Amino acid sequence: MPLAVAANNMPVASLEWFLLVGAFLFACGIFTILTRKNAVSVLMGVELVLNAANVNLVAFSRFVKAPATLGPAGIELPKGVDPHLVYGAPWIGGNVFAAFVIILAAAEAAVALGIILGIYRNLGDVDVDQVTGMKG
Amino acid sequence: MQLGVLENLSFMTPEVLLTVTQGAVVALEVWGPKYKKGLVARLAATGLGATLLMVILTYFELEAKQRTRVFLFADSFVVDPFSMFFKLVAAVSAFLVAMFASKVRKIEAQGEGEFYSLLLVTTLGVFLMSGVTDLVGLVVAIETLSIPSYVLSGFYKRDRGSSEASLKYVLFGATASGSMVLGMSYLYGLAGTTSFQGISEAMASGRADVLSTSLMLGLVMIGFGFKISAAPFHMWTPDVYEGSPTAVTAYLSTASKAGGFAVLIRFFYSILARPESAANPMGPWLPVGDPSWTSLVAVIAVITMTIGNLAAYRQTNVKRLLAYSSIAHAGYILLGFVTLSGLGIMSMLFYIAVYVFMNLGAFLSVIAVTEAGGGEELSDFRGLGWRSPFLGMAMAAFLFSLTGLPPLAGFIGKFYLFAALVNQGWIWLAVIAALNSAVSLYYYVKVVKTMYLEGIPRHQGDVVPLRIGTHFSILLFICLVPTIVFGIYWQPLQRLAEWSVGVSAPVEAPKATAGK
Repeated sequence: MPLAVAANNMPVASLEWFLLVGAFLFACGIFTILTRKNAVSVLMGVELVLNAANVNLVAFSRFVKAPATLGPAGIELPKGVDPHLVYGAPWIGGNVFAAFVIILAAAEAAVALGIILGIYRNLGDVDVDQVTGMKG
Repeated sequence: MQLGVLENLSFMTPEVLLTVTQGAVVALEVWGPKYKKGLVARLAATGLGATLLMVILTYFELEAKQRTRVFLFADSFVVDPFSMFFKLVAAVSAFLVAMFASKVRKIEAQGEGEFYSLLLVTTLGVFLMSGVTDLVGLVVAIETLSIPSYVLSGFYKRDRGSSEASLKYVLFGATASGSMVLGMSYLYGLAGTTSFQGISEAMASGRADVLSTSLMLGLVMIGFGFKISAAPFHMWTPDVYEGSPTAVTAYLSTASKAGGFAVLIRFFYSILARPESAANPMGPWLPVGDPSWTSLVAVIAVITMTIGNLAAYRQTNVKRLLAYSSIAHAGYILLGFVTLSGLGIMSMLFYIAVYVFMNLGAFLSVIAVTEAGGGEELSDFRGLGWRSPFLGMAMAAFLFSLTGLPPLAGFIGKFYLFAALVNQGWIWLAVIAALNSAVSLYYYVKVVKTMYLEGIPRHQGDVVPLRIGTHFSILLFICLVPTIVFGIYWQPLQRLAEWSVGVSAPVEAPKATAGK
């Protein structure tokens, strides 16, 4: 994956580089979730996974073109017209998606931290290996 | 033509009503009188009852106008009989759970306002899940259900089991939804749009090879599989179901699971399948792109039901036993999903509706026993048939219906599922499912045996009656009636399910349908 060169001689990263970063973040996140014992660390792994998705979404939003027939609902574009040009480039679906994911991640983290606090109050520990009251 | 916001909302009266009720519950809790025993519960139950009524009215309205579907909010949400069916199921389940929870003393002591406002938000989540046709909306809807569910499962703050359940639920759930969102980001990259229709077109164009398609769909399936507790994403189910307050468990195993199936069917049947002929959606459907995903789901279904049934054997806690049973039932319902036919979806819808009543009934019986001074262990059920004849009879009916014995509703549901399988040539799958069904008889009967053949009173005077009260008796009766009636006269439900299939077809081009 060579770096493309823009007009001002600065190297520009291609889509693959961003996807690699995303995949790497995801791998780190899953590794954290599987190996960490502290519930807060596990939560940090989850945040990494969600942010991997965000990196992907924003990168795709920049690089991938929307299907040519798909304008805002109900309006059919003439054939061959780039929706990026009609509705203002770039097509921002991925950015909007990423914004929603960030909000959801925040909500999830707030709830999860509250639950972890509750666990600490009841068990005096936040080690997920110690939370084994139920088995079978 | 685009509809305005108010016009859009006029098709979403049930959702609006739920939101308003939730606000009212919060307001009453915060600013209401200090002493308001049961007032919040009554308000929430009234709101849910009104929502249920509104769903039925909208259903009739759709039928009367012969309108199969209305797209709302720039085609990200659809109101069609398919989504109405799931709203009906969710509203019934939430209403019954709210009515039951109103007499649970521990919930009252912990704060009714929190419980009912969270319950209403989760119900809103299921409503949204039933209608989304866009990835962004899908993620928001699923999290609207999930996040309050995490809190609800840990509702007994001082209870170790309850906090443990909520910790396991939130960690598993957050991981599953993270993986799902990653899968969706790749889907967006493939299609360049977040709408199901655009993704379906991208799939049909063959731009993605088999490897990347299976990677994307596999990641998305983690999220859905978690919601319906299909193997291998079922690990959380027994612990969460056992530790959570029983009212919450009853809700998670019915409405929440129904919502999971709603998005599963909508997602896969919008993106990866379309009816062979648009005029006959009940017939076979054709796969879009690579068809091998049905075999994969078939394997998941087999593993799910086998694990559920085998693990239920050695359980001594009734809630945990029912948790494994609900895993097995997720496997049965997935059978209809595999067939790739309208008949398959119809049988899934039928089974989900029936399953809600019988499973809710079984969990509600556990609540009734606990509230009358018993417990959740199998030993607490000894001689129950003699101590409380109605409760024993009702519980036995629910358990036999879950097994799939005639003449109860569960039998008809299983019959349709197996018929759909045989119809599409999945004979081996039908045989495995039937064997599983036979195996499940053992642990259901074990509970019935404990209720009737253990702790038999020697003399008439030895019976220690267990009084469950009229409130619980009436609600159990409400669950019992459909469990029996749909086993004898099931045609109305079958017609309803069949009519609801007719429109779960892929989303048509927006230009053809929007605003009409």
